[in-house]
Formats: sequence, C-alpha cells, structure tokens
Amino acid sequence: MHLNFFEGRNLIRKGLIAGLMVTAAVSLSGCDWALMDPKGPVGLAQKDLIILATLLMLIPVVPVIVMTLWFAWRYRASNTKATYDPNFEHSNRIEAVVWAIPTLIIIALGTVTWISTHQLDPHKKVEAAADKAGVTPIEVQVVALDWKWLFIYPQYGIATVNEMAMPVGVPVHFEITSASVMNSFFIPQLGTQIYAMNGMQTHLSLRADHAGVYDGISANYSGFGFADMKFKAKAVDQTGFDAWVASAKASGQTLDAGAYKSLHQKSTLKAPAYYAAVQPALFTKVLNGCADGGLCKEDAFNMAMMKNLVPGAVDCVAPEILTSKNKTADKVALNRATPES
Amino acid sequence: MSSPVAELHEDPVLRFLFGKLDISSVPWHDPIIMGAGAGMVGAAVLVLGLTTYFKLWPYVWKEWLTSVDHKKIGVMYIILALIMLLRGFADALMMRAQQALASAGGHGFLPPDHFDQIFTAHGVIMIFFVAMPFVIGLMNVIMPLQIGARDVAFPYLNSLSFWFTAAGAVLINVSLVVGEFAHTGWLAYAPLSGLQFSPGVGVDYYLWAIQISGIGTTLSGVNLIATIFKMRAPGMTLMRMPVFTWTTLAANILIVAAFPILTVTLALLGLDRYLGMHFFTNDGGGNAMMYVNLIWAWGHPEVYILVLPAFGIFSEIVATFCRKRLFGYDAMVYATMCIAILSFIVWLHHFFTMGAGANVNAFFGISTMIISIPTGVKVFNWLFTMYRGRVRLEVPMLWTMGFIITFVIGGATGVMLAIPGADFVLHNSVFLIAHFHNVIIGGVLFGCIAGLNYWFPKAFGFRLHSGIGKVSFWCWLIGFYVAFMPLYALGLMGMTRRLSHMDNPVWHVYLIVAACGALIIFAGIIAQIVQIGYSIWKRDELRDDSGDPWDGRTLEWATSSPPPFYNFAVTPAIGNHDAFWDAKQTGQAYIQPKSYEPIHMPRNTATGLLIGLASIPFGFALVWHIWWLAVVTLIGMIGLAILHTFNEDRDYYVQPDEIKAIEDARFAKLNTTTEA
Repeated sequence: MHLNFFEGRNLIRKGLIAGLMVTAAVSLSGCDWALMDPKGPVGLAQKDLIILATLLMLIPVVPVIVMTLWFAWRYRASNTKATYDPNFEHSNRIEAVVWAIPTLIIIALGTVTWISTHQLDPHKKVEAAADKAGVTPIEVQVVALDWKWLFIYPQYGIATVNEMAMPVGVPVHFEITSASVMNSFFIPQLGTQIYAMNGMQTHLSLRADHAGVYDGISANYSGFGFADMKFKAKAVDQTGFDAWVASAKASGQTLDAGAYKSLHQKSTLKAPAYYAAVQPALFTKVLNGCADGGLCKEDAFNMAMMKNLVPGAVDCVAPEILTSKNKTADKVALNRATPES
Repeated sequence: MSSPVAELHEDPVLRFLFGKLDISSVPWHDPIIMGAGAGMVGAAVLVLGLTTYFKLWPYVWKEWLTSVDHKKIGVMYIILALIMLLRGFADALMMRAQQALASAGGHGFLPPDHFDQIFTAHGVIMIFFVAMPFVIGLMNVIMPLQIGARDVAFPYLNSLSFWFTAAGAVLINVSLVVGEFAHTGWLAYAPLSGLQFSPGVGVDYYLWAIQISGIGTTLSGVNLIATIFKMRAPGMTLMRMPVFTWTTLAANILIVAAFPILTVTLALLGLDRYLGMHFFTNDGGGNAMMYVNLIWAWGHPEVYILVLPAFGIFSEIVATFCRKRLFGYDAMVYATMCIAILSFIVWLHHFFTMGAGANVNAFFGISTMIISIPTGVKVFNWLFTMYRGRVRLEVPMLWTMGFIITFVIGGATGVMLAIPGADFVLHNSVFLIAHFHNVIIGGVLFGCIAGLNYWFPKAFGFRLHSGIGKVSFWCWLIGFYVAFMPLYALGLMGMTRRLSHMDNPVWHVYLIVAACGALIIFAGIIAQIVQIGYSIWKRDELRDDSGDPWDGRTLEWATSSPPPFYNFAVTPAIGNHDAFWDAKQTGQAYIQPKSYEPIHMPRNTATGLLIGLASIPFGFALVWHIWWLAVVTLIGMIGLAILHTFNEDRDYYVQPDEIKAIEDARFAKLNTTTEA
C-alpha cells in the first residue's frame, strides 16, 4: 500500500501530491497511520479536524498550483498569440477577490479553530462512554523522569513505570509533571499531547474506546535517552484492569524515597516496573522537588517569607536549611555524573 | 552514551592558562569528527596556501578583507552562507542516513550524544549561518543599488557586522573539533540547556557563537534601516521603492525589534550557566517556560526576517521575467508590513501544548492564520503578474514557480498546525519538520538561490550557466519532495522528531525514501557548485557588458556590471518604482552625462576585520573559562573600536577625471555591444 503511494507520486505532478497524500492518509487505516486511526473520542475529533482543515486549505492551494502552471504555459514568451498587457498592474475587482478569498477561508477556519480549541481543551474533562455512564474516572499522576515515565494511581495506591493501563470507555484524568527537563506526554492513538514540566503540572483527559496496547512516547526531546523514553498504554476491559492492578499489588515493591531516588537517576529501562505501594503525596513532592527526601520548595518558600516577617525566625529552621543545602549539593553531583544507559 | 564533562584543571597554573581546555577536549577517537576536522583544516590550508602562492594577499586584503564596499561585503556574506550550507547539509545527510539505518531496530552509526549534536548544529547552522548571511548578503549587494545610493549609511559598521557573523561561524566549526556542540536542539530549551543537565561546553559554544553573530546582525539591521530611510535617490518616495527594498526594510525593522530579545534571553541563560543564577533553572525559583516564551518571541519574527526578503526577491524576478509591471504593488507593500507586525503576536503557536487555556490558544491560533491572508494576497499578486505577461522560463523564474507551488503546500500545512486542536497531535512530530522545511527551503532557500542566479551577473559581470542551473533546480525541487513528503506521512503515523533510533519496519521504508530525497538534493548542491565553477571558467562566454542581462526594471540594472565602486556616476532621479524600465521606455537610459561631480566615498578600514578576528578567541576563551584571554581580547576589541574613532582619514572624494575614465570605458563597451 505504501509502495503504491510512492510509485504513484513519481508519476503524478507534484501539485497533486498534497491531495494524494491526504486521500491516502484518510483511506488508509490500520495501526500504521496512528493519527488517522484514533482509538478514543479526543483523537477522533482531532482526525476529523485535520481532514477538515486539509480540505479547506485545498480550496486555495489547488487553484494556485493550477494557475501557476497554466499561466506559465499560456503566457510563455514564445506564445505571441496570448494577450500581452505590460502595464496591467491594478484591478480593483481582482484585488477584492484576492483579499476576499483568503479572508473568507480564514473566517471559516478561525471559527472552526475557536470552537475546536474549546472542545479539545486539555483541561476539559472527557465524558465516559455511553455504556459506562456514571463510572468513576481513573486518576493518573504522571511524572517524566530521565528517561522513563512514572505512573501513580492514587485511587489504587500503586505505581508503575513505562506501562499504564485503563479500562475501555472510562475517562482517565492525567496530572502531569516532570522531575527533570521538559518532556511531552503523548499517546498518539488517543490524541492530545501535553508538556511535562518541572515544578508545574498540566492536565489532560483521555479515553480509550477500543481495547488494545497503544504506544506512548515523549514528544519533546529531553536528552540522550530520549529515543527510548517510551511506554505502553493498555486499554483493557474492567476485569483486565482489575487484574492489572492486582498484579502491580502483587509485585511487593514499595516506591519510597530510596526507590524514587534510584528511579530519578539518568537511565533507560528495558522492562516496565510495578510498585504495590507509594509514599504518600509523592506527586506533590515531585512538584515541590522533594520526592527524594530534600526540603520542599513550598516549605523553603514559607521559611523565606517567615524570615522576612519575624526577625530571628531563621534560627528556628537553620538545621533544615542546612540539610537542604547538602541535598542540593548531592543533586548537582548526581546530575554531573556521566549518564548511563 | 557519554558527553565530555569539561572540568577546570586541578593545577592552578594550568587552570589559569587553559581553564577547562586540555588535550582530551579533542575527540581524537572519533573518525567522523576527525575526518571532518581534517577536511576543514585542509581546505583552509589549501585556500591560504593558494592565496600565498599566487601572491594574492595584497589583492585579498585591499579588495575584500578590509573593504567597506557594500557589494564586496554582501558577496562575502553569500560566500560564508554557501560554505556553511555545505556543513549544515553534511549534518542533514548524516541525520537522514542515521534515521534510515536505525529505524528497523538497529542503532545506526551515530550514538545519541553525537546524533543530538548533529541535529542541533544543523538547525543552528542553517538558520544563523546559512539563511541569515545569504539574505543579509543579498540585501547588502542589491538594496543600496536599488535606491540609488553609493554605499550603506555606516560602511565601517557594515564590515564589522560581517566579521562578527563570520566569527560566530568560525566558533561553531571550532566546536566540531575542540570540545563538543550543544545537544539541546537548535533553540536550546531550558532547563535542558542549563548547567545541571548540560554541564559540557556545547551550550557555551552555542551561546557565544550566536551572541557574537547576533550582535553583528543587530548592527546590520540598524545600518540597513538607516540606509533606506536616509539615502534614497531624489524622487524615490517610500511608495516608489522597489518591493525588494520594502521587504528589506521590513526584515531589518524585525531584526532591530527581535534580535535584542534573543541577545537578552541567551544572556540570561549565560548568567545561569556562568554565575549560578536561576532565571531558567528547575531550582532556586527559575522558570524554564519563560525561556521558551522569550526564545520564540524572537524565533517567530525570525522566520519572517528570512522569508520577507525572499518574497521581495520573487517579486522582482516575477516582474522582470514576465516583462510586466508587478501586479498590485500597493497591496504587496501593505501585505509585507502587515506580516511584519503580525509576526510579533503569534509566538505562542510554537507551544500550544504547554497547557495554556483555550482562549489563549485560540487567540494565537487565529492570529497565526490571519498571517496567511496577506501572504495569500502576495501569492495571487505574483500569479496576476504572470497573467498577460511574457513569461521567460529562465533559471530565476523556474525557482520562483517552484517556490509558489511548494510554498502554498507548506503554508497550508502551517495553517493546519496553527489550529491548536490539530497541533496537539502534530506538534513536535516530523509533520512539523516537513512543514517548516517546506516553507524554509521552498521559501527562503529557493528565494536565495533565485536571487543568486538573478543578481550574480550584476555583481560579477557575467551570468551563471543556465543549463547547469536548471539541473540544480530540478534536483532541489524533486529532492525536496522525495525527502519531505514521507515526513508528512510519518508525522501522521505518530513519529516524533529528534529520534536517534527506533524500531518500526513501516517507518523504515519511508525513512529510506527520505534519505534518497536528501541525496537528490545533494546532487542539486553539487550542480550548484559546478554551475558557479563552470561559469567562472567560461566567464568570457557568459559575459554581459550591458549591465542589464535580463531586461530589468529597477535601478540596480541601470549601472554597469559589476558596478563601479561608487555605484552610480550621477545620482539618478526617480519617478516610479520601475525606474529603470521607464527610463528605457522613454529613451533616457544609457545617456552619458556631459560632466561629473566629485563623489564622496568611504575609505577601507581593517578595524572591522580585526575586531571580528579578536572576537573569535574572545568567544573561545569564554567557552573554556580562560579568563585572561577573554579579558585581553575584550580590551583589544574595545581598544580597536576606540582607536578607530581617532582615525579621521575615513573618506575621500573621487575626482571627475577618474569617474570620467571609468564611465568612458563603460560606454565604449556599451556601444560595441549595441553595434554587435
């Protein structure tokens, strides 16, 4: 199928390539064309949006390509029969048309943009599928690490690395941050990616309507291990999901400060990891830069404020500040070490 | 997988003398880097050796290195761009080869730390050291001629600007062999580019190469704006300026408004890295997203700094090769200025995925789309210039047609990316890569090569060979589509950018096709080099004594080719934006004046060259923390600049006798051409 596409391209004029490509993209299905084969409502809306935008853009693109070739042929220098009007430089009618056509298309597209941007706002919570009405959405906290993905399921008290699961038809609400540099959390077949940023959290709500194992990636370059920073997103039925949670519970591992610290080191993982228990409020601690036991940014900030308000208050917190300084030194030493894979 | 972490020497004397630099800073074990380094050094030695052997140093020194003639400086900018194009394209070939080889499970021939440096260097080189000098070079050569000026407003500053740009390019090439280059992506997003995650010297090379060349660019922007506003020939009102001059003005206004943002942003990153500050760090209250905002507040206008002059080039070419007045001149001018202004309110579309609210995203999405309205008007105006014209399919016109077709496709995919909902899945994918190569190759690069073919006879007095030029055009055009259409498809398949390896047999096929496309483009570049070389060899056959080989319309064609150093013996008077065409129509062209007035001209100076040269060790010293050298070179640069203010012998008058001799020779040639 793909080979046909390319053989065709060699034969057909370049002007038709864009149209051909889109037709091919739309008509092709199967897991090769991830964005054209979405498995949830967000991705589906985005597929339709891409197709609509393509069709709207073909309205000016095709005539321009045709006119370029046609005018060049019709008014070629050797064709002395064609009208030659060397001073034809202005026509109100043509000017009106050439301003109006792009303006009208952009008004149409702008309207589509306004509506779709609000519909597809990552902050907006996705509804449950019709047959799952009233079911509690799954909460997942996502932490981008160098170079792996940590998923915390606060409702179940479990955590996993480089693998997540969700029941089909049930909305999944993600809270996303990064313990390191910027990454982008993306499951192409479910739609919408969103940045994972240190000290900040982003929100995303997705739903899988078909069972399957979908590729998850980081879509923002984050260093040497970036190409291997992948995960699997499993969409399974409720029984399968319960079994998956149970298997994580059965792992017996605890994601405490020590385990997190080793996870936080620069490395890539070949196989997913599972944790039966997670230290309390781990996600908040990651956001505050204290998941591996250091002083939380929030606390540091409060202390700094106190120091200003109450003279002498700094003495009360001196030991802790000292600890945090050591922690920072550790951290810098850690990060300056040669990364390993 | 390792990145050299340069540490300061333990020994205080060595630390003082060499900072972080030691013998292991050069990656002796890497055959690719050593080969490339040997090639660069070899080429440099060859050029210097040949210059010495043929005793060309006095000529090179007097006519080129110390020249303040805008035409010479412009040509040097373009030579720099062409040399750096080879370097940037070598990076492109390696990336395409790596992804083709490492997409079916293998790891290819480049480890991630090398691949990451290559895609960073490719982006930085292509934007800062190919596209920018090419565009600024063309503006330098042509714009003063188009407005009937004798030189730019500040000739010495112009020379300084060029040598700063060249110094930045030298630093980037030094980083290939001594140390490393940034492995952060071409915009060096924080916090990845901060000291915590990039402790090596790569980001420091990045910072100083761009800072030094960026200062040159800003100064050049000031210079060209002053030139356009203050040095137009009598009668050339703003609305009589050729469109290329208009787009030059718009681009330089953007440079002056946007480049300081870049300089400040990189300075803040530099403070983080050198003085332990916390503007963009994870700890200490830094906000890395501020970096992303700031860098794109420069980055988006930068796109228009590059493409607006290209639009101007196409406007000149299309009118000339259709033998017709440009359709909708006023609309072109307004569209240009609209685009220039709008370019400052769209930067957020580079990161819709940062999590801004729907209103913010929708605003920036729609403001981005609005830019396509004036752009669309421009496209239609070029088409209606062809309409009822006499289209000559010479090489510059072929590039123009290739541009129109390619650019509208790139524009269409750009509008798709401007819809936040669609961008949420297309962002950072190779669809995006295909899009911006579609507009930057199809727009900027096609424009530059069209301009090179169009104005080469003006700068050198002979044409570039047309047949080889056509070969180059077709290779570039076909190669572009073969290389980048698969990337559009791959983007829709969910392939993200900057992957050093992957395991997907379907993608593998597309990536092999894309690599073949890169090879076809390579053939186009070879053809381009052959075209220039062959044309120099056969220059007598390709010579044009008329000064007007294409039957041109604007003022640059009114003078001889190459123009005399004073450009115009008599300042022309202008009544229209097609000044020279009108003069030809009314029989006022090619009339030798009876007498000449003395012409006020600037003298050559080596100050720009010397300051530029000193900025290379200055940047190098800062990269490696060799403070004594940084201080010495900085004092040297400031000292030279101050010393130059005492130089009062900066200008002179060309006497009428000399002008008359030059002009008589020109008119004698013109008359022989006419008689023949």
